[in-house]
Amino acid sequence: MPSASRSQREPPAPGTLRLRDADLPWRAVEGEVVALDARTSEYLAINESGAALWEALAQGTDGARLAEILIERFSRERSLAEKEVDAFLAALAERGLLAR
Amino acid sequence: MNLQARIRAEPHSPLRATLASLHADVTAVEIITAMRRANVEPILLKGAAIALWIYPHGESRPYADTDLLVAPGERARAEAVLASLGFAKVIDDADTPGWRQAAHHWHRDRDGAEIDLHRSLVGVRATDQELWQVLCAQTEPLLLAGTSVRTMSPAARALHVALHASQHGRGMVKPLRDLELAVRVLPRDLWSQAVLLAERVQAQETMAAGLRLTPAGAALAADLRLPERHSRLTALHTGSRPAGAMSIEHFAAISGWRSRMWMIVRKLLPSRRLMRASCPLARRGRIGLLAAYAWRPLWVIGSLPAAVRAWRRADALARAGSEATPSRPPVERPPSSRR
Repeated sequence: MPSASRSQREPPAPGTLRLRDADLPWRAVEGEVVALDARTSEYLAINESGAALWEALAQGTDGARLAEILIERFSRERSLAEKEVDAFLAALAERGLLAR
Repeated sequence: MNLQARIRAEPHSPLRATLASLHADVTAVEIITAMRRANVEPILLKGAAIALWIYPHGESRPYADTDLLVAPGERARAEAVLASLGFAKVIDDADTPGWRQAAHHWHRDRDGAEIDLHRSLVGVRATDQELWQVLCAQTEPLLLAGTSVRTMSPAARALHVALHASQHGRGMVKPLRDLELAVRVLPRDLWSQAVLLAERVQAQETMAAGLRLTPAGAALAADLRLPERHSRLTALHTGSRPAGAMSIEHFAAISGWRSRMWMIVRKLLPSRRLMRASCPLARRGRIGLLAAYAWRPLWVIGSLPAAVRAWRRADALARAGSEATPSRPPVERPPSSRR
């Protein structure tokens, strides 16, 4: 569900990966995700596999579960899935999109 | 996997519409945060409160502006906040004699942000204060771009979906899609609660007319035993509404020859603000404005025959339903105020 769908947020448990709440509205559109980073005024488009990870991150998850999503839904080899998850998380972290 | 920044979106594409919605969310948070600092606690209407509620995952409900309802006593402070954020009111009450707008439209040149600051809802006959008292007890929090904002309860939102459909009739796709989805996914108990709210804000007739715009809504309206009669104004909203038909209704509703004369003058020679808001030609500098003023009387006269016919049809429908036009007509907004 998009960023505005929940009325309250609890702080993430230690080890949980989650998207930043503030200033980051987003929508799932035709299988992809479109987001606006209001801190940088930058729009982001995330393709289908990235969108699956994004939606899991919006709810709070961990790296192992993200890799499982790529394996189960996108038929990735485990080693490739883990590599892609790491790269995706690094890209999000670099843009300051993950909760601390 | 791909995370792309600074994306390009074709005009009129779903992606462009989604980007506009995200921008509207950020603007809403900016405004609500600033209003809270001024001790104003608005209620967010429509927008994300509808898009994230009844639309299926992946289906976009585009919106480009923010609708906020504020308490009558907080309105002046809310307007001051908007002005401090760089917004300007597009059309004021003085621009629309005989016509009480439910909301004033505000625009910010810097980024094109739009907001409708509501004092009422179209189709409601209760006073602003009565409406606020009902709705401010019918709210719940919504997380919008990381900020908790106040939106209406599901029952109040269901009522608003029906009222909004009635406001635009069959001439606009989005309110009808909202209605279609709301009728499909919301439980009957919730609609029963919405009917109770409609009674409290004197909007049963408008709610019924809105629901009856779709077959499933009509069945629900019958099940809820909503009134079948409706006023001339509601008939105008939900039916064919050529330019000028609403003005005739407003003319019929006001009393006193001075008020009527002033309304005629303002119809033929509107304020510059209204001309610029409603006529693209008037926004093309001084010459464009003068040309628009020259054209205006011809346009008014040319629009009259179709407008009179539509008004007469609505009058006949209202008479057939044995309901006189209410002494205090529901408030509304000018269709031209949204750019």
